[in-house]
Amino acid sequence: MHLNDQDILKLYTTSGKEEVAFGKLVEKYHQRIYWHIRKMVINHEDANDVTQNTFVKVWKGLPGFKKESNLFTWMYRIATNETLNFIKSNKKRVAQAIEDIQIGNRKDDSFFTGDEIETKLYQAIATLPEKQKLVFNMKYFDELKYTEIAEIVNGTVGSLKASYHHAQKKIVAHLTTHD
Amino acid sequence: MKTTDEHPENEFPTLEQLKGKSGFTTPEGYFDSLQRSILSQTIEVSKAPKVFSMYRVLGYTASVALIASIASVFFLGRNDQSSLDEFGQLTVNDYFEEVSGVDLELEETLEFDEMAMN
Repeated sequence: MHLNDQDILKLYTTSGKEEVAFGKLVEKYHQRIYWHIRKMVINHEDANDVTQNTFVKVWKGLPGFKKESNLFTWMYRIATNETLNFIKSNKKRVAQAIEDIQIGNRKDDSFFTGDEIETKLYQAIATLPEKQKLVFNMKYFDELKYTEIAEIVNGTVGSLKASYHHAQKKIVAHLTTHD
Repeated sequence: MKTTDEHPENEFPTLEQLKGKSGFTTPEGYFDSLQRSILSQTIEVSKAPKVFSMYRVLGYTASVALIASIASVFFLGRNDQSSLDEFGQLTVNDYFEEVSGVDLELEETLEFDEMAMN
């Protein structure tokens, strides 16, 4: 049974319980953070590295975390930052990872078993600009609220709705064209 | 009248059908090992004895010694090419980070650019 974020923060501020609280935080969010990252960087090993870097930053940043903020969106924001920095520094690698998930091009360690339509979907998503891809993933796969996404990317709800709508249109057009 | 804001998915039934599907997988037992790995890099590191400042002093001392050694080779004559090559391949900071496991560089603060709308 996971504690809610407020309880985790209360535990963290209890003297001597910081490590227990952080352990609870990791237990609660490690999978969610991993999948958020994985859908952007594609490759499992890269997602593993970025996820771990994210939690190291969360651990180091917790002492300065403003308790009135939302813990979940704060962590997601760190993960998002780490992901975008990784993609920026490893564009060719990420592009190669997207190519590697094509059926017929997969390696044994690609950790992707999607069928044809799932492969086409991820290829369509890959055509989006990085930040639009991010918004799409958070809305479509993670089912976050627009208000949460706005906090994570420092955008407005209106612009996010527009961006998500445009992303959907592009993806469907891509799926239709490459049918 | 249904607006795009309220029911975006109904406008794209193809995407609605694909929701929940993911072809991505992970190695067996991965998430258990991920938790352990995260904790070993965070909580376990925090528990390690605090020798950060000692290593800084050693690092600076070693830097001076290194510079003096290299300078002495140049000024007194190069009689051992292999030892000079060895110094050239390893910086002092790299060495101490490798030995101590302590990251001598501080983490940067978070930044996130404004989203560019297309």
